[in-house]
Amino acid sequence: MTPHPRLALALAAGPLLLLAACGGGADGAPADVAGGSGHVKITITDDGCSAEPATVPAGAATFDVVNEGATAVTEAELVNSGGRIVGERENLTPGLTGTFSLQLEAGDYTVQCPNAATESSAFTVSGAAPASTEDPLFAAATRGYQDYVKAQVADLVTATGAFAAAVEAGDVERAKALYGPARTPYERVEPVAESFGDLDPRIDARVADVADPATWTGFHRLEQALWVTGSTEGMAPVAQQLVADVAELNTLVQTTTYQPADLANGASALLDEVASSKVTGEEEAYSHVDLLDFGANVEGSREAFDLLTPALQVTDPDLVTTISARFDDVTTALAPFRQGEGYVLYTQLTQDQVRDLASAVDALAEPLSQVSGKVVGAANA
Amino acid sequence: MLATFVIGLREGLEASLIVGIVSAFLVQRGERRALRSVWAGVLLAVALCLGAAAALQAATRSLPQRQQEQLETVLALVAVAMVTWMVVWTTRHARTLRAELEASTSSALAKGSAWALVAMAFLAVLREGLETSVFLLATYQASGSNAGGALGASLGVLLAAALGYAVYRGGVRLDLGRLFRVTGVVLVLVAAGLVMSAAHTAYEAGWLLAGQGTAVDLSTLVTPGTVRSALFTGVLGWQPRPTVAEVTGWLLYLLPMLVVVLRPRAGRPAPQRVPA
Repeated sequence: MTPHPRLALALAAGPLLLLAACGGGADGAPADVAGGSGHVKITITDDGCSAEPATVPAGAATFDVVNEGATAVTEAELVNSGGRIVGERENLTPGLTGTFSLQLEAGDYTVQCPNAATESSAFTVSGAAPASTEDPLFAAATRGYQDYVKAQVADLVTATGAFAAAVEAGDVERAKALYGPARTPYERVEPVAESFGDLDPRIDARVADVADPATWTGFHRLEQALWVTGSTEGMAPVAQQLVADVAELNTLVQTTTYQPADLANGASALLDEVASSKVTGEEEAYSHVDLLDFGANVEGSREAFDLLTPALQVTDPDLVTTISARFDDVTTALAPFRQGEGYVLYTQLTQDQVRDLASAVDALAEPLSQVSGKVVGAANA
Repeated sequence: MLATFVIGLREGLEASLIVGIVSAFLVQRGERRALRSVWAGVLLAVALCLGAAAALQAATRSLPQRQQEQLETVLALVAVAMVTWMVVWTTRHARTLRAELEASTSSALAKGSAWALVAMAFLAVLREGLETSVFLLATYQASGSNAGGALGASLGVLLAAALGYAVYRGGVRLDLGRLFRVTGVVLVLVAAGLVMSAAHTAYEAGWLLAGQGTAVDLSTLVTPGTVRSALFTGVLGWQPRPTVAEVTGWLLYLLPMLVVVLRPRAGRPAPQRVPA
């Protein structure tokens, strides 16, 4: 028995195994999964760990595991319902972060962090995997939406620039007149802006949304100054910040790509916006131009839906017919309140008129919410 | 700093212990020459791990966790097999060991076993080294925000290496019979720990899904994030809350092997009797 070949074998096996390990595989995907809509942050603490958001749609997702100061807990795992670890990061001491990306299948998962006081928290993956952009009809839809978003944000940059200039010049009346036109393009593509972390809060937070009123910036801060205080004093920095934030949004949307599911979810999200803050008159609490936002939200939602219709027509023509009719109903319900370039003020609406608008929106929201499921079904057919 | 120190110590201990014991064993068998090969193997493994970690870093890719767990599982099982062989070999030859050693240090069998030991040291370092290298690099990268972290991690690894060296020095000083008895027990414990680690990494590698309930709560003894936990996990492979699969593997290996090592052997020449 000659041992040397065996040693040679052992020595050779090591690097080979290493190479195999480094070759990556299912979970060795690069951190930026193309078009991956899901970005989940898992924060490790000694008490436990939680995923934010705790529910994501199926498909590509990237998990950032952050240890902000836990000493006893240094790893987090994503475990599927069968008890198998589908992704994990170990040895994350305070201040370190780790990332893993994977294709998630629908189901119930848990986020486990061994040795924490509470070792697991629930994590849900909903629906089936989103439609792939391979389908030419969907590819056309997502490209069209990308162009739409870019055009709207370009308008936003222009209109916000004019509005901010009026604020800085101290021209209250002119600023008031330019406020609405600047809001419209933003409200049309708001879900996209919301996908960029703290950009939407900086641009569009209401006073109730901010922890410290001193840090309040954006449109509504200026709205309050113009309509409540009636003065632009001290508002120049806020106006400049708004211009900078909008410019940043413009830079981001140049390179952002969308999944078919993003269009469907965005269309639904815009309608939820309408129902939760426009119909209630909460969005524009000082200027009361809520119906302007209402109209813009519906326009943005309809644009996303229209882009999806060629593909949806193949799988569920009835749904397309229903939703188109309901969109028309909403537009019809809103039409009487048009006034010149804008709409009547929210404060001029009666209770009954508000209720009619709300029910038209609800009647549309229900079938529209089925679209994302159909988008998935079409892609997997 | 303590958190990174604990991980550095834990990751480094297992490898440095095996290297220390293997080195002592070789020296005791009069094969000092093979030490150089052990060192070459260890350095090669370290270089490989650092190279792989740096390559991953350069490509800004994280370690593919599952493959790494699979690699660790395979290497742990290989190490278990080698340690087992070493224990069995020494106990079987204990009776005639001295004569054999004098006669056969140059025999094929002795040489072969020396090479196997070198390979074992190499694999032990390789097993833990990859993860440790990635971890060290990560702490150094974050040292801007956490200077203590990088220091702690380095100190942990250094202390583990120092402990391995201490084991080696102690092992060299013991007389032969006692060394075999002591290292036999220690080795069996380490190997049982490797079985436990293998059960742990096999679960993380997705190979073992059965018996994942918590068997026993040792978290008071193996308090997470403490130096004591690093010693327990690094030396004995104990987790704070070992699963049924881990405990089962540990017992299945440990009990029969302890019998093999501690079984009184009749008719052994006096010089080699181990003082009680």
